[in-house]
Amino acid sequence: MNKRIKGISALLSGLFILFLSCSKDSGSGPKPPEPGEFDKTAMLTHYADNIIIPAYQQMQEDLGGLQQAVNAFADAPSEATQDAAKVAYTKAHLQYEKIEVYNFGPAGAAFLDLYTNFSGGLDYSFTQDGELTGFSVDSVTIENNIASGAYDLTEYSRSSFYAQGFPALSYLMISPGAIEKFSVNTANRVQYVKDVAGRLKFLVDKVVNDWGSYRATFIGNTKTDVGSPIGNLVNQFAYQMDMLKGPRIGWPFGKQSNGIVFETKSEGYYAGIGSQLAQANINSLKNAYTGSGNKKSVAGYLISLGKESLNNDVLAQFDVVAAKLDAIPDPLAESFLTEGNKIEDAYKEIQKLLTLLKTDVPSATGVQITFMDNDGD
Amino acid sequence: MKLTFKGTFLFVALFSLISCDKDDDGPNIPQYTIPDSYSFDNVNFEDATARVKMLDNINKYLSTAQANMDKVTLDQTKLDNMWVNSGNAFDTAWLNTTGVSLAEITADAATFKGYIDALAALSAQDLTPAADGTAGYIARNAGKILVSGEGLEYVQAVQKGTMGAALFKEGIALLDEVLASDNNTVVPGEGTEMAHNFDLAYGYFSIPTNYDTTTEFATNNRSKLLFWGNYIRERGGYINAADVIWKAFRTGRAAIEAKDMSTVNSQVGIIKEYWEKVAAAAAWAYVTIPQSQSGNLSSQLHALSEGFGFISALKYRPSTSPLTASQYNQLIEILGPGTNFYDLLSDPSFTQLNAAKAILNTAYGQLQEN
Repeated sequence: MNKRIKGISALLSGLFILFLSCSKDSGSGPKPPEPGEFDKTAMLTHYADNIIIPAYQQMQEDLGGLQQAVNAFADAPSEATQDAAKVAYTKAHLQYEKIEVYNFGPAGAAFLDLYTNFSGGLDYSFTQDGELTGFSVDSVTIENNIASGAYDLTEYSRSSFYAQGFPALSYLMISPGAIEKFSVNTANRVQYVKDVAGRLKFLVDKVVNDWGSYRATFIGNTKTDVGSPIGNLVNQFAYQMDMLKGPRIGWPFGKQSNGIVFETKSEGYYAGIGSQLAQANINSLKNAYTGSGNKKSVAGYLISLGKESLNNDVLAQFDVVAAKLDAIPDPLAESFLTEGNKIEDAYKEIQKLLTLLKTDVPSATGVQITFMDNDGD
Repeated sequence: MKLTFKGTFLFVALFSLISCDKDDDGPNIPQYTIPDSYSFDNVNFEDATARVKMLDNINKYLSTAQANMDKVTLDQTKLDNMWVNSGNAFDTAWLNTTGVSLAEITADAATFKGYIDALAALSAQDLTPAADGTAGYIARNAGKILVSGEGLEYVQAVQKGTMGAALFKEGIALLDEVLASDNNTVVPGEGTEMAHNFDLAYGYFSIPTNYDTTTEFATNNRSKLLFWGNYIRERGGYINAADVIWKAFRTGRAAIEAKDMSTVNSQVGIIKEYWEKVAAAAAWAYVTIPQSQSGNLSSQLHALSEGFGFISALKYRPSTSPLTASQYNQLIEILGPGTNFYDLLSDPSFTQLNAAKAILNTAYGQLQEN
């Protein structure tokens, strides 16, 4: 900083003090909450070292297993290799639910959620049939890609997201007639399914690798402002609840379409594991909130702020939602049609938890909810 | 609330950064009141309003290329005509016959017209997904954004950029002229030269004469609060820009009528300071917001493009600006012409964007709540 800047800063701060001294309402905004002796660095270190990085490493391992099973299936498609692939697929997809809430930093920069498990976004209406929304699979693009052999899975577009990741893999390996389809244009199909599995592995490898350097940024920023680690974590709680209310449960059930069910747009449709995935999602969310039952967590932070009763409400509501989701049998797609009451029950409780996590917790922790793009112009 | 001169004096003391220690023995000026609205004799800022509306029309037309997922080819000739106001390019006869144009007041006009032309050319191409190095579209909300190979959303570069290079630049220039203008000869319908310059600056700021700073007013008058008139609330809330600027414009104009030059001087200073600070506060917000929109590339690029525009506006800052030339150069190095937005976003720690925030904070102090 040169002398001139210093001079100007000094002058400015002088003026600012002068300004404060002659005006009661100086315009300084609400102060962030004082956390007392709560150690946010310890909390973030706990999250990084004991929860987030191990979860990504487990994901990496599961994707290694999945990639092997996919390759075995692609090289010799049969019911036996398909069964093995389905087991590996289910394990990996369930593990994915445990990392989804950490979609910031390296995962955000890699667009991990878009390329691995595209939900269609929170701003796409389910009201029209035939459109690619929710957890759809773009079988047209997939088949075109296979036919032409020319595709770029790094392309950033909705059709690209819908042609790769877990949904595409399940279509290629588990959907009706998946094995038979390998008898036509075999080489291209084998290559495509291997590419899709390889890209999943590549992306998670990159995220694990990037956490190596991002860890210091993560634990070194204890603020709660926009874009801070704590801010991002609290935003993700709210975002994941919006996902449950929308693409995971509410929208395929018809909450946006006057009760018209879009069961094929539900998560894990071909694998028939949508309810398990939703349960894994809410359990992982609770785990993230409580820091695996540790005081070095957002839950512990709330308690240190004197918000014990809010924390109890959140914990109780997590359990209610988990129980309601637990009651929904798989395949979820079928339950949307036959178990309407159970879905409705779960939906109501999801909304209550959403309010707590999107309104009350952010307000208590001084975090702004900013994941929505509501910029009008 | 009507204020007497004594009240005005107190008000100035309270709201001006430099006048708390002012002695109570002012010059011999008759008492005057500060009205609640911008209502004075001989107010006319039609030329400014016309140019604001022209930018609004251009902006709305450009936005049609992004409103949905269809290819919408923009008419280059129509845009050329809108820019210089020829060939009845606007929908209203008033704008077509007003005799003024946006081009004539825009600094670095070739740059900003260049963004318009680039968008028109991109809109004429078949829709291609955007990527690092490839201009194209990215879905955003119910429509899409069209971005350059570096990720710049042209609509925002035009809109926020011209807010700076035309409306802000011109407003500051007029305010600078106010103090040297004649304040004796009244031109019927526009007042003195000083009053007219001040009124035109008010026009470029784009708030109605019956403005008030409540949320209710903003909600009910969305179509009248264009550009800066909208942004004082949208991004200027923390710095209290709406209250401060609205009072300063009314006070300054009343002081011109009363020939109270020291108050005119102080109010011009306040308006210049806070107008610039709104641009800085918006820039700060838009290098911050993308850091919390991980995985949502279109929203991130949209926000960065707004930030790009507001940072470019700082080029036209007043000579009294707290932002030094070297700080400004660092800012445009981070988010300026030639910046690759994808590179900014591929860093999980957003080091460059945080550096921009720090520069803005060093120059302007705290700009947003958090």
